[in-house]
Amino acid sequence: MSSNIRKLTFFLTTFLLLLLPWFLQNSSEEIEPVLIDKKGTAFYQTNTCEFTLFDILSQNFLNDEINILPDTYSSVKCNSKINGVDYFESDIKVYIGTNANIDFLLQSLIWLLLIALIPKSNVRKFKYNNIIPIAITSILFTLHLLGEKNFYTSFAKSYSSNISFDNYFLTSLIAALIFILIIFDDLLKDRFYNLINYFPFMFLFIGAYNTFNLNFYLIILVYIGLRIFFETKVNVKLTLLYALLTVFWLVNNENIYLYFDVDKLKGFVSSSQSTYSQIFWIISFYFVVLALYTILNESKDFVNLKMIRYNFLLVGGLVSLFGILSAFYPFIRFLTYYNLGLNKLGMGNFTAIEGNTWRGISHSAEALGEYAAFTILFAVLISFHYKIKISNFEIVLIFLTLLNLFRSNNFAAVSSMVIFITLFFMNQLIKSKSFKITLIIFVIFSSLIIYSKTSEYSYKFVSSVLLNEAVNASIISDTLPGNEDGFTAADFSNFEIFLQESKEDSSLSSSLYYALDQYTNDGNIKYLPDSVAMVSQISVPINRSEKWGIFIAKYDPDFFEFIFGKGPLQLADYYLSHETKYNDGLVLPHSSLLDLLIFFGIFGVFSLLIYSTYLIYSNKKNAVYNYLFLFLLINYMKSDSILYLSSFILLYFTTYFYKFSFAIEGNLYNE
Amino acid sequence: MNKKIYSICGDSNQIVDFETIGNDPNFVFKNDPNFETIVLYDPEGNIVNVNSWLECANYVNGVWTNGLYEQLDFERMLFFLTVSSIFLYLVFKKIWKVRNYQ
Repeated sequence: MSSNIRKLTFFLTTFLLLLLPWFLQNSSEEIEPVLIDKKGTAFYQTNTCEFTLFDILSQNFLNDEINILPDTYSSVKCNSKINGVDYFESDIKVYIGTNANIDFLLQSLIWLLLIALIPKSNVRKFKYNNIIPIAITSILFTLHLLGEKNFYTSFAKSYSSNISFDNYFLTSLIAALIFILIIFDDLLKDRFYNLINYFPFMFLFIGAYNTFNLNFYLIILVYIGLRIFFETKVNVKLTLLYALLTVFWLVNNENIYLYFDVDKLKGFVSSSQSTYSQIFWIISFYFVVLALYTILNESKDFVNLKMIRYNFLLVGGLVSLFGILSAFYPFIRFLTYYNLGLNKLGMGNFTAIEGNTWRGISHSAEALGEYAAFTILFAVLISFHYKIKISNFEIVLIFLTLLNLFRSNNFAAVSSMVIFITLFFMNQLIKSKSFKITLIIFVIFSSLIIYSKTSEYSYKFVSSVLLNEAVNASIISDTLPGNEDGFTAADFSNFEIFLQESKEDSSLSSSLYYALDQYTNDGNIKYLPDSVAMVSQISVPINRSEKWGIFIAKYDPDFFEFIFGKGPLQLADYYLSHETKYNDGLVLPHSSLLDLLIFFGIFGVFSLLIYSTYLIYSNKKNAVYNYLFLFLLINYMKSDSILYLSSFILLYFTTYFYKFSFAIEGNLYNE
Repeated sequence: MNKKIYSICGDSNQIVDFETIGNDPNFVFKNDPNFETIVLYDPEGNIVNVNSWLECANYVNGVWTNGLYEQLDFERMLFFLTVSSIFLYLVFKKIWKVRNYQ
């Protein structure tokens, strides 16, 4: 087949996959679609399941009153059709039918086509055939569907947890999965070593399925992990340790079919606490990590920094572009959500929301800001350190990325980016080591002095505000008597009152009870500041007092759970088991470190901190690596980015970036 | 007996003479207290609650369905379509390989 015909076939297939489903269904021939306004609402409420998305397009493309949303509980008959219209003062909600079985096949095929676009590299030969990895992935997939039945009964009309051949909901999904994995396997062999150069596209094509608590990349990484597991020497000690922890997590798990509304975390966190679900996430996490490790390790000779920089910037620009288009056109917003696999619909306007933030098509403004700042930091460091010339088009992309950064209003990302860029240039320009150290110490101390002098809060307030927030988030705060002005003991930091009851009789979480005890009963270690007060002081300038306070109010582990956690990606128990004022709505811990504490306990957190310190120390001469790694560590400490697969992979990539150093130098000379 | 009836109304040993029921304008279906009420829909969107297996079978024998049957029917179709696609893909792959080696 000639190259032109191949290209034409590819673009035609992509076009058909992207658009065909939205006008393929039979539409009404007797009635014509009308403009969707207050009057038109009644028309569409009477004529449900009559018009496809494309039927209403011509009349409503510029209609900014509408907001198109997926009706995830649709029958197949009404898939891609208008299933309902509701009139609100703010907007008119138009519901388009989407069906789970169709979503899984269609969205996967779209993303497989994109993988096909990655240029071929050397062939990666696998020792064994793919039957066992496909079979195990299918079993894991089935476990997931059975284990999270409360999630799926609300998304799929014909969901059934019966294991029988007659359960065509399940069998057709498994058949679709096998089909997808067979195609993926063929694409993988020729592109394995090139995946790393194109991974920034995971920030554009997020890969979250519309009607599943699954992510496309999770499935293919689990599959790659299984493919590798049978042929490479895995780290036996770490695998055994993980197996031991798995036993602990499973034994301690209470098998409950909860329903934790995963919302924007869709695809990378469990929605249930069932044993099946826990097995799925524990095993999947292991294979995802194994796959990532192997890809990074084996691809180091194929890393092309110029291409990675270009892809980071291109994605930054496209995210900005799609964000703006989605803000103005509801049709583009819906198609962007579906085809890119976004965790949630993009924003419907270009004006900022709460806290003057704008998230565009990203799941959160914080994540958008982090990505944009990392991209610019990466581009600057790579361009100047390795002397890779930047093109005019890339400069345009930098401006579009900067637009994301400033609209997201992520102060921490902007300031840490500026600090690391300044440090980098300072390091290049100033040669005297002693002068550099003196300058850094001077800047740190003067910043601290300026902050303490200009801060409007007293030392006592700053030290206890975290506990105030935690007590206020607990249900106990509703029963506290107030003085004539309505202030309670919590407002005056009289925390002794909460310790009069024993832990067993108290309605406080174990972590809050411990923190109050530590703060009140002088648990200080000599010459060291009080640990609770210190965390509280850190939380104030980075605006995390409220969120971390809520975390302390909610986090209620027993001793062993505190040590070893609940298992990877298990948030349901933390979220729902201990009653606070925040058991509804997705109020996350707002720190990846706290997320890790829930998953792997203090043992896991300390292990990772020690490992990170070791990496930084052992690469102390590799400034580019340390700046990038520290930038992410600092920003992830105050955000939940670890809960998003793309951000998790970015951290993984950055953690092992030092491995590429020598290979990168080699690649540059080869160009 | 139509497979669709068993799928929607459940299993039963009863043998139904639909013609007799259809020709008798005064036929009254007796409620079965052990039968869990099923909601059926016709193509116009009308709804009927049936309270016995016989009543259910009679309606389903016409044009009424529980909405889900259609769904399951589609999923069955999708299943066979996907399995056929896998088969075709593998066959084409084999042919492609053989042609490239020649």
